[in-house]
Amino acid sequence: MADRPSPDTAIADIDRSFEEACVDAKLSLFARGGDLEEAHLLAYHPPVQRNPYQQMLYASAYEHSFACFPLIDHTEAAPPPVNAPLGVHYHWVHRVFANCRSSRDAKKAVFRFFDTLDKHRQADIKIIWTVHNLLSHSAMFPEEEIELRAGLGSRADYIHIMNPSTVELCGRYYDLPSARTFMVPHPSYFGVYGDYISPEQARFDLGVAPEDKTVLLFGSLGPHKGTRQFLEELSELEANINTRLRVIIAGAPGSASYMEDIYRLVADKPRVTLIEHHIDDQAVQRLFRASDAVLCPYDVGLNSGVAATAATFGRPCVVPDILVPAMSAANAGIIGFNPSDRGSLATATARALEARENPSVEAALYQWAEHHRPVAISRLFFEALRERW
Amino acid sequence: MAAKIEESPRKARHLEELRSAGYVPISRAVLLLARMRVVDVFRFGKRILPRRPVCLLSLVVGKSRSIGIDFTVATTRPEVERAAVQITVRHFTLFGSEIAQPQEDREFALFADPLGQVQAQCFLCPPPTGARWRVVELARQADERRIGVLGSMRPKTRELSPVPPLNEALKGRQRYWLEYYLGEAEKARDRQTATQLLSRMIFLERRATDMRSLRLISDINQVILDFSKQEKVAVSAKMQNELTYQKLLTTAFDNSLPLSKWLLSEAITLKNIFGAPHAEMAKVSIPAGENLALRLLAAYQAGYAPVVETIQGQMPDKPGDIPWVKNEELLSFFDRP
Repeated sequence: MADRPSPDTAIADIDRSFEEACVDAKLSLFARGGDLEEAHLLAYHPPVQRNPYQQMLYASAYEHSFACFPLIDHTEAAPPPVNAPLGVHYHWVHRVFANCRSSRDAKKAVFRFFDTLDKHRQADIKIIWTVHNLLSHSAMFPEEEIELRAGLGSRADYIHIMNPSTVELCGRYYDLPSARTFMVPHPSYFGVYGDYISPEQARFDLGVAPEDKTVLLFGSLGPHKGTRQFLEELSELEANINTRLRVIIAGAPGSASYMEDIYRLVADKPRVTLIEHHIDDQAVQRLFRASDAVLCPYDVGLNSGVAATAATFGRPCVVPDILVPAMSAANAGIIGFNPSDRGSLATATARALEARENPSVEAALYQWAEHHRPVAISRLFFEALRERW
Repeated sequence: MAAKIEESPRKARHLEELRSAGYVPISRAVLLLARMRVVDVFRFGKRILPRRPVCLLSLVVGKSRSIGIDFTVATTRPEVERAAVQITVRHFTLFGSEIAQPQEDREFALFADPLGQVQAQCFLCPPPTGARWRVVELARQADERRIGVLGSMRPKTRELSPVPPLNEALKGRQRYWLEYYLGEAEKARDRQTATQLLSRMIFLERRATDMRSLRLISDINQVILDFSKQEKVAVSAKMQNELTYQKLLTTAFDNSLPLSKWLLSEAITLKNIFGAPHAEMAKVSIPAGENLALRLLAAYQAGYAPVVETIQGQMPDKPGDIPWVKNEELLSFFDRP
């Protein structure tokens, strides 16, 4: 399988062979002085660069005698040349289809993927899967992806879920064996992004007037994010809530044809600012701090890093209903809407803007973020894994 | 190059599609001449745009404002490709010093249309004063050989008439027609047409200057809309209000910032001088005269109940000048006798 290689040598030594990585992992655990009998190796696939999720989840690995390292080509996973159990931790598995041009290719890719998983099992390599989505955001081969996920679910030793409703929600498409799942919530971004710019400075920098009711749509642009539909309905939404909104849309651009639609829709909306590039970690704070509320007008969603980021900056967030249980502890700061009833988005937006006026909501969001800081969630993750492995 | 194409079926497919539409690769000899900036490569037939930019050096002849370049650009992609080709036009003095020009007068991004649907694209690049030489450079923005080009790199004086109808201009990509109509809309203070034109320009090029212009017009719309919902302002002979707002307290509004922001700034200054409006001190006299409408809007913004004083019993026919706002709109603010 030809997945995208991770070219960033600042994140991991990509020239290192799988065997060398295993030995280095064991040596680093030995150097830490822990009990070598407890040492576990965890190779994660596919490694991603711009999304800090993996680094956040593995933040406390060493505390629990786990050494985690990226696995660019998952077929390389083999019994390690050291005396330590190895697991392969799968994340965004739709990347299996990266080079597929037809459903026939996709079927072959699924077959090859299962073959690799079966080889893992024969070699006594544990399979761990974090279920990030019901299906990938822009599934090109939905049928094959369902087959892939069902097959991975049946083969995985441990399945990490972040939304308590995951098993039920995934059940619409494929079965997840609930006995092998464990729930550890999505971490907040506490301490991950820069956070030193005041809201006043952020609004001034972005040209947002102090009195503007400002909403942010954050994250890479694509059909799954509901941005297009949101822009089409913006006037109606503003009329429903009797408020002129200042809208900031920020994220890496999507496909050319999708972006043409976005350009067309924003062209006559001077109160919509489109920032069409990846947002640097130090710039994220400016967008969130300048906003009154964050909107995730997605059609579907299981977990949301954007909602977690919004909570980290104390901003209320509107999310699809099914996402609310994943962040229920954030109380009134996470507001659900029903994607099949677009009118509910207006109501939820109005509630989010109201919540912004309530200091207790902001305090609850900060509390959630602190409680869910990456190191704390990472501890929960490894404790849960330890119990089972 | 041929060996490389064999390596990649995708590249071979692009090339085949372009060839079947009549686009041919540039020969090595012509490419060499193009590198020396002496051959107008795309003038004599459809050519595939190579990876490295292609340039042409030419003498500046004529100084007409309507000097421009026409091209058609094709892509093997099924949809229009934005900014697929970048054209840079640089002008030089007789002795070879480059003449500095704003980016928008120097760089032009062309769309590439799907094969079989190509449209002519033109942009104007009149030479600045003192220009004797010109270098036109065509650069492919796409990382693949999927772009075909036809047109001369040597700018020519264009016939800028007849002017196409507004609806046609709004559907097209010719910026100079959109700018022409925008100028007309500005003269007529027609904000609605200007909004349509600027929206089209923003869609096509996403220039910050166009976005700013649209933001200013949209802001004026909102200010006028908000004010028109208020009761008309009483106009009367001189009254004995304690507060008289005789002239603007900050610099006059000149469309360099949104009207609403200017009004907020003026209103804050006004309140600083007059004190915050309250029941006994809410009325402010606004003598007719220069910038009457702006003073009225600012007083209203500050929370005062403005009363306009006529001059010798006469209400002026022109209560000031606010860019993009028609005089009739301003007059409609007043409850004139």
